[in-house]
Amino acid sequence: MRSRFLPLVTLFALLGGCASTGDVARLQNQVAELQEELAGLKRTTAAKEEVQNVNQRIAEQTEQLLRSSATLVSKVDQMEERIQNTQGTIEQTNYRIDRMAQQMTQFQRDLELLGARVQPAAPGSPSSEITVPAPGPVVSAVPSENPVDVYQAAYRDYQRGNFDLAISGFRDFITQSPNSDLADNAAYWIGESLFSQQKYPEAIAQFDSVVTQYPRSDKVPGALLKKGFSYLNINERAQGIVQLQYVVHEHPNAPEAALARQRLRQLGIETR
Amino acid sequence: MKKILAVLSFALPALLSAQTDVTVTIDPSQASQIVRIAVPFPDSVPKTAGATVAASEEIREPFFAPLTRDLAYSDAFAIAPLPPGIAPTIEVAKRAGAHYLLKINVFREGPDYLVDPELLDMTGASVLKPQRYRSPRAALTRTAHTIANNILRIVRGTPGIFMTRIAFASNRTGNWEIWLMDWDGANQTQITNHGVISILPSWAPDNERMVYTSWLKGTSDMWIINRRGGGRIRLHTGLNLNTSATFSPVNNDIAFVGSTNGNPDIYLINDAGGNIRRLTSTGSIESTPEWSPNGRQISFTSGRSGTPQIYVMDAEGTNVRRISFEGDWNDDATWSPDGERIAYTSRVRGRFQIRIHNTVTGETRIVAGEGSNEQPSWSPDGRWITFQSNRGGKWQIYRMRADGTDLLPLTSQGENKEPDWSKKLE
Repeated sequence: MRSRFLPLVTLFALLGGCASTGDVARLQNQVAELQEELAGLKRTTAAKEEVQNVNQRIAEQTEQLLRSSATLVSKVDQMEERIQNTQGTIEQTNYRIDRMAQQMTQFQRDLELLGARVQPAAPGSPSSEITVPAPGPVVSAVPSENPVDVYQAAYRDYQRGNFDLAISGFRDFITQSPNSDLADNAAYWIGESLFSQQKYPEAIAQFDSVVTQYPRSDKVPGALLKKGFSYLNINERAQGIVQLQYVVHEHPNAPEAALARQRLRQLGIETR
Repeated sequence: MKKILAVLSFALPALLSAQTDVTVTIDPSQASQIVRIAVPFPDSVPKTAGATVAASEEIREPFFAPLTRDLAYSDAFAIAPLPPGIAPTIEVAKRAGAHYLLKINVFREGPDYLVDPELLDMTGASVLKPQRYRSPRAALTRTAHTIANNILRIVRGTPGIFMTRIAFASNRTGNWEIWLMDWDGANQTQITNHGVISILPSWAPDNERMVYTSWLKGTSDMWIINRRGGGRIRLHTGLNLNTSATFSPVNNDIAFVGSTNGNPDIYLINDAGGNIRRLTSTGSIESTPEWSPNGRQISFTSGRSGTPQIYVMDAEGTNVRRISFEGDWNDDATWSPDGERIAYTSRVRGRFQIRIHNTVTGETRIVAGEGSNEQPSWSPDGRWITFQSNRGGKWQIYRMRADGTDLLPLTSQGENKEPDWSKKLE
């Protein structure tokens, strides 16, 4: 404001006094200069206003961007929450399915036991008649121990730190029930028990068998990573590094990949 | 549960003044193994020549009451009721159905108390190695716990939990500080005096050290301290949060919650503050790690499935699996000493309760009662659980059997939280 106001005051003061032609010409020149200056100032002002306008537009756009960015973040958060909730629901459903599968296995076993004790009637005989066989041979035909009990006893031993007993129990379980849903778990726990005992070469072999025999098991990433850790623990660095890189490459989204990357960084090896 | 609490609250003062009237819940399957022991009050024992017998009111509260309580709650002994006004001889004890008679003489010598316990079987033979216990009045309760422990070891061949201690946080001085108490709430002792918030104590497996969280230097840090309050060490992690620390039962690792960029995760550090390792890396909040007793598993709470749930992973961070499936808020998991059970806090119909998960069978059950009941911690023999509850209006620490019976309030001054039972039987 001040820059626009002062030149105008000066102009009126000069016009108000007596003046020669030369003075008038000088004054005209000065007026022309001042007009030019004024025009320049007006241009500057216009430019400033424009800048202000632009600034305001930028501010508005930035606000809009921020708003839409916040909406996006919020949507991503919501999606993440939904994914987590879905994950939670899947976990709960899987849990229920597992429990039902266990109950089914138990029912099946009970039925087998019942079937072994009660043989069906011979063809042609009245349907109400049943033949109860002698107890001796039948008992020997029935498995002596429920496989789930064998698994649970082995797991109990593992939890108590009785690793030798746990290994032996899990091996018995796999022999008895090689096709059980728990067979891959049993194989993994044997490897983990050997790892706990710091028997790393044996643990490597066992984790290998988890991967080769149960390639679709959810224990595979863990088995692969533990195999890598086992190599590192016996100072077979190169093998260990290759193994950890394999985990990152094959199971990039598993928690084990993050652990492998961390260990590789500690070993001075960067991963993507 | 409510009834048991009410009964115990009213019965306790009475049983302290009675001779042997301690009522406890006994598992019927163990009833045949229970050894009945007669414990006459020391005053009724004939005097020994040349000694000053301690007055009964001096020793009833700090010595006799905790001794009889220990024996009665041991799951090994039942107190055989002796008829009043009759000298407690072997014959009298035998008629009361006792297998043992515990005769105790307590003498005064200057400021010290001398305690001579004698455990007799029903033939009159002494089965306890003669030993005199000398202690000032303040240590009489510890003497009672020591004698109970020795008797249990002689009769059952196993150590008792009477010498174990419970660490906790209390604000009774105006600040949250770390305190210790005996298993029955006796001998409450202040361990830290920082004048700032100090919380979440957790015992080392040797019962000698604890790790806790304190704002002593203005930020949340983990500190290690010995059971007498000395030898304080700060664990530098370079991370934020630094809380919920817990010692490995098998090596010098400590699991804790640290955060970078505001996201809490589970980390390991050794007890000298070195070798930091990150175990979880999700975008969700991970907290409350706790080691399994074999040192090979770590339980923790994670929000990765939308609500806080209990997960277990191998000690290397691998093989993560969820173990809680009921309730929309589960936290504070802690393992029983045999690794077979995990107790945790679970929100049930708007209130927090203690839920126990069987790691072998996968079954769960709820064991708490009124108010909110949180932060369980197992006794080192796996028979008892201590926890915090606001059932009386303020947060206080309670003790109960793992099946929820024999509830006992352990604290009453100020507010008291986050109990952690020492790990080793002594």
